[in-house]
Amino acid sequence: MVNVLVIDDHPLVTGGISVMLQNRQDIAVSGSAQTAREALSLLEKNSYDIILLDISLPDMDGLSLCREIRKQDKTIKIIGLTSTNETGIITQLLREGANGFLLKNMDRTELLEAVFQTLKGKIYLSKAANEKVLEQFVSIDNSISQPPLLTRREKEILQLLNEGYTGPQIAQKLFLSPYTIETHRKNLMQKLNATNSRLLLKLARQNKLIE
Amino acid sequence: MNYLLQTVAAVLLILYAPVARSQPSDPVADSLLKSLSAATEDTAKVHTYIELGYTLNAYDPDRALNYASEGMALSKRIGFNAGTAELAYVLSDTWLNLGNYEKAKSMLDESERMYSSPENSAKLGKIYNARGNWYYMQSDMWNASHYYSKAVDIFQQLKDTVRIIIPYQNLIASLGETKNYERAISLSKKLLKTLEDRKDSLRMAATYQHLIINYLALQNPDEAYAYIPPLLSFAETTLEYNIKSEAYNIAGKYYVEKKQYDTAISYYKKAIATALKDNYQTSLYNLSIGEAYLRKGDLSNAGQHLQLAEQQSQKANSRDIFYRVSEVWSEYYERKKDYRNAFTYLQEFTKLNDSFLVAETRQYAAQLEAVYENNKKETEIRTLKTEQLEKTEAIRHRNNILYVAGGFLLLAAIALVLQIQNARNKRRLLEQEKQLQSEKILALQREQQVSSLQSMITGQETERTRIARDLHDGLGGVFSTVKMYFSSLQHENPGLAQSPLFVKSFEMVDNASGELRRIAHNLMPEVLMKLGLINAIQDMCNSIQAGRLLRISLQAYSMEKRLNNNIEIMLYRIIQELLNNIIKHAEASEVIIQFNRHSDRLTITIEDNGKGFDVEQATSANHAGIDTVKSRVNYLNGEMSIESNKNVGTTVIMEFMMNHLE
Repeated sequence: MVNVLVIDDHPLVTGGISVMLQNRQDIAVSGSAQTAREALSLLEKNSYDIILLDISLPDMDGLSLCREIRKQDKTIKIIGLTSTNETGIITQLLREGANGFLLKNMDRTELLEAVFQTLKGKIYLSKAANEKVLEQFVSIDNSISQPPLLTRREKEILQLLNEGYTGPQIAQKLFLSPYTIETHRKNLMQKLNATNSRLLLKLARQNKLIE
Repeated sequence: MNYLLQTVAAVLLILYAPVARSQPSDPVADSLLKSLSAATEDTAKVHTYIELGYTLNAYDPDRALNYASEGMALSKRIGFNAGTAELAYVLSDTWLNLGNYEKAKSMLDESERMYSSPENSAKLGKIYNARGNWYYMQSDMWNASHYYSKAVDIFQQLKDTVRIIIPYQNLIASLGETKNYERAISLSKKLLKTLEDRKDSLRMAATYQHLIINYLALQNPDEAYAYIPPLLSFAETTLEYNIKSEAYNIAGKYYVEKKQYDTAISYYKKAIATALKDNYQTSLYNLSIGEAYLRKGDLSNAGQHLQLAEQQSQKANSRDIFYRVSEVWSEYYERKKDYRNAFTYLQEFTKLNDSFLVAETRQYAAQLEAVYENNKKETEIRTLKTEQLEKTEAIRHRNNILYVAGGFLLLAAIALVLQIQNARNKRRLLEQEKQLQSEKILALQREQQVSSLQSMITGQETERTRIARDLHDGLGGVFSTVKMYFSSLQHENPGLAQSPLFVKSFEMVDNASGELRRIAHNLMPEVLMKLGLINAIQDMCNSIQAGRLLRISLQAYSMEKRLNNNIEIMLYRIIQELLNNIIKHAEASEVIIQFNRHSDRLTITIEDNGKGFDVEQATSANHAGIDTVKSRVNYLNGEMSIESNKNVGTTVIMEFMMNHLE
């Protein structure tokens, strides 16, 4: 028998989940909590196999509660429940030790799949979330291991610095204020992680940003 | 119960020439036309055009447009500024009647420009009232009430107890629209007393209308009844056709509320028969009839009238009426068990009724507060200005003394030198004080701008956060649960999967909950609240890229620490707006968003490789987005620069001091 604890401040949602599981002999909602505090005290007294955890709770952020529970119990399966599928939230949830993630508008099949997959030790992401997380990896893939992208002005200034012009000279040449040039130079140093102008040019050359 | 908008919109009054208007009809227009052809090209002829414009506006805006434009051309030719300003005002009403808001606004702008000297403040009052109508017709009730109040203020200052009545009445209408029914009623009652003393039966009738509508909105038809007989007896005898048809329409509403549908319908039909503005009013009244038949259960008649209402609302270019028609259509199809059409119209209805509109209206309170603050500041500035005037007077006085002293100097030299120096010193001190005073005025003016923007923006964002949370917590939970029930039901009765109705319902609930998530996300992304600006922007970029051939690179340096919550929201909106502009106009394939945080400041750069635009020529009309961004950047005490080159792209750089952001 798989014991499920539902933590959600909406009794309606908890009710819906119970209804979806009511015909199963092998799973049951054996506890429900509406606040983080209530959940923690239930977890102290009883043992559960799976937690369905809403990430917005009235008294504590669901993400922090997830971390808290994981600190105390390394084996219990935690599936996050949210009403939005925003990638940032999903990855953060997994980082806090959750085993899976379900959108609240799941259907019965999805719920059962999530429960069994996580019990087997796998990570389960709801289908909509899957796509979202993939989107993010595509963009991370794009940005990882590449030198920083320079804006047009930054390229121009870097080029002139390389040709030996000083800040005020560049300002005059580009009809900009010396202050603006200084800002761009500082940004460039930050982007290439350089501590001085000479290092900046060296790193820029290494990254093939200038000749 | 959304009776209000459709009923009151037609009652909105404009202020025009002091002549009491009788039945607008061709005889009046004809006699005006006759004097027109006889007149020579002078200011008198322009006045005739103005009269003609006012008269025809009431029932034939197309012809009004013709004559008013002719008058305008003449007035400009002979350099008659007051005439041109007045005609611009007439034309703004014409365009409003024709449903062309843009032209109506530009005419109001022109009229206001020409009338903007202090001796014309009564004219300005008229224009503010008309601006109120302009917003009202587009259901922007906040701005409407704002301008009506401004008009009221002007007439109050002028102690013009006659002209103040119209903006006052319009203000009552907009109060009703923003669901301040009780206030609308108490104001109406106050107004009614003054009107009774003045025996102004026309305005009394308009006030009865407001009282009835607001009592009906409070679902209190018995209180409303007191005003029905006097309103009807006025309607029977009056020649004011604008009020006449509206009075019948409102009587109809009352009888619908009392479930006496046949009586209601007969009043609505009278309303149509007396309506002046073809499409706008008749579509409203046909809608009323359709609704009454629907309540009565007579579907075929209901359908016919709704059809008419829909056609006419589109001809009148009225989004508001169409929105109401959609709601009733959806009910109609539901009764006919045609769920597909019911759903389509319901979507049409919700689209227009999107939480955005609601949010705008709710914002009302926050904004009123801003106005109040503004007024307070204005008084401060005014007293400062008077003080400054006094100072200038004092200097002039001092100067005179100097001249006299100069005379004395010729006669008795050295003895007076000290005194003159003394006077000079005093003068310098006064000058300095005057300088300080003007700096103080500038500072106050700036502060005023900032504080009104501040309460507007924070009000708006708090409201958005609240609505998004309400949507998630309330409706979101309900939808999810319904879906859960459906899927359990399907599991228990596998046969249901074959039932098209069941499958369709399942799908619809799914769509609806998806739509709700989308709206809530647009209002306030959860990731912005929980994980901060950079994560939220990354999310935004991901979803923009997913559907387009646009690559957005987000580069954030030293942005690990979060900023103040409100600031993050503001920066998020700024970047959202700039990205929107890029998507809409730039035709770019690459975008860089870059955050550089240093110890004392933060620069944000957004660069695209699109087609660029002329920054100098970017007027507020075609780059409204840029203006919003600018005012938000100003609000954060930031600096913004835009550089754009044709076919190279656009770079926007914003710089903020960190001590303003944390």
